[in-house]
Amino acid sequence: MLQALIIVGTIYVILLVGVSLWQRRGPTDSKSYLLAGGSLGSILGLFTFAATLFSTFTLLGMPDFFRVHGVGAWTFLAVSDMALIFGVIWIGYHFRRVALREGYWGMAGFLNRRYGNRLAGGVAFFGVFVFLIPYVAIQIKGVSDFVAQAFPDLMPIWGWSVMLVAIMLLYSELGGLKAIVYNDAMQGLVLLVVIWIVGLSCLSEVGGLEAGYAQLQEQDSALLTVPGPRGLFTPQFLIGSAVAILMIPFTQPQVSIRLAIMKDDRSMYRMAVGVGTFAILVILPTAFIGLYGSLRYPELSAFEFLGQALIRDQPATLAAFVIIGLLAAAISTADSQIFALGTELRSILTIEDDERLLRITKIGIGAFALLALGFSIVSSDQLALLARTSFAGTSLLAPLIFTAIFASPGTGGRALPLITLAGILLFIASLLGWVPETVGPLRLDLLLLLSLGIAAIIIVLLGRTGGEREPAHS
Amino acid sequence: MHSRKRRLYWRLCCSLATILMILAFTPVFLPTATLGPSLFGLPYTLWAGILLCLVMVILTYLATLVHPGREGEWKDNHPQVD
Repeated sequence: MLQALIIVGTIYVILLVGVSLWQRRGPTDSKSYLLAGGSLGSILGLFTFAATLFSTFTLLGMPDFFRVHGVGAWTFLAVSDMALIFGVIWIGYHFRRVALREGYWGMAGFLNRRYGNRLAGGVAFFGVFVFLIPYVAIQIKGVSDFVAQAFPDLMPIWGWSVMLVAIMLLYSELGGLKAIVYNDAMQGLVLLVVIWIVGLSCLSEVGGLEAGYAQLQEQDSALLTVPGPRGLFTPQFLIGSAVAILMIPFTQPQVSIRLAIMKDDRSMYRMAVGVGTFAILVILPTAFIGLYGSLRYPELSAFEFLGQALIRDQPATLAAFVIIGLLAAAISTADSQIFALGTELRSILTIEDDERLLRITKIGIGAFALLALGFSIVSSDQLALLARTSFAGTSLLAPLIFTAIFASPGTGGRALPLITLAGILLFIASLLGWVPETVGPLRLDLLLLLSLGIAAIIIVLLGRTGGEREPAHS
Repeated sequence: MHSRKRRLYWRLCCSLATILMILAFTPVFLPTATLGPSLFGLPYTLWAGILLCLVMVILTYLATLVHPGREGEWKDNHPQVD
């Protein structure tokens, strides 16, 4: 298998770097480098949005979620993604209308302009930095752990992590967002094809859908219902996850920038429908792999199960493609996140010289990548749950962002950014175990989001007594 | 399409999507510890969830056809990012 991996891997890296060099031939100003020229069509938009959204945790976390917690995993991700795509056409339209009129370089800069102070952008940047770095880290860690387990004598875990970050930085720094977008399209396709081949192979191993689920019913029927055998998928957990996922296009900068750079609204709408279809197609086979795992490997740890199901139980060439698919999934999300952090940094800087700004942004991207690499060495292996924490953390920015989109400029002043900062700090304190994770029957993340939402509504209503209101579209 | 009709259909799509998403997290789609009825061997929670997703994709597509932003048929819609 090693030979197959080296051949497929070399072709893959050559393609990634080749695309970056090809994209490098165009203009090299900030707009081309950081915003891909701002004219993304629906097909390219679909693949880059999907590849950014569906990360390592889809390919590694979801099969394990289905295996350990059962069919409620479908609602956890697929149903939540349906809320997300409708949100894209509903709120995305308003977002683009306001953001593009203001001149969009990044969410933090956008908030600075809408709130009329630098605190709003600072809070947004702090929020995405604190919650995206661990998310990038788990992408790197997840794949590195997995590949190191598949080839225990080839390289240590940190060696795989360094290689992954080096490839990611090489093509991102070379070709900018346009290179990332084209590479995302390629990686999205690889991910989809690989996951279907493995999913169908797993399904056939258990004798098909009917036979597989009949066996599972006899073995552990709790996996076929909610909340699942370990009681994870309670309505509150699922609603909290859905709300956090619904907010992703606006609260995670690597996704919101993709809405902003779509060629026009029609492209964005088509892209949203395409992402919905992609979501169903990419999550369905993870249910088959999970079913296979529940039946064959119920007692193994997450990585042992994934190593068996995705590598050792597959033919050598397919296993090589699986590893490349995993690398693709990790890279396509992590590069966009690191790049978006750089773009966010650029959007809050007040330097006039474009060349200097671009240089600082590139240095920032490198620094963020190194930070994520460092964090990946110390993070845990709970991929899906850590990803959810990232979604929940950044979703706390939603009231701040939605107020900027829907209310008139200046509404919220410094009060809303300060309240949001307090909410983020409380959530971080709960993750560190300093404050309880639940308040009465409510999870803290949900309670904080509700409280911030109510605070934003009150501030907007109070603000309406004075100031000019922008015309709204229904 | 007439502007008022378009807005009516758009609001209808939004209402339907909201109702479906609320129902998705109630016992209608997530009955606690209930296996059946099954479809092609799939447990209820899974097949009902898949069906819900298919309906949502179709609804989203229909919503894009009647979106108020379509008024003017995309003519004034080439925004700048800087």
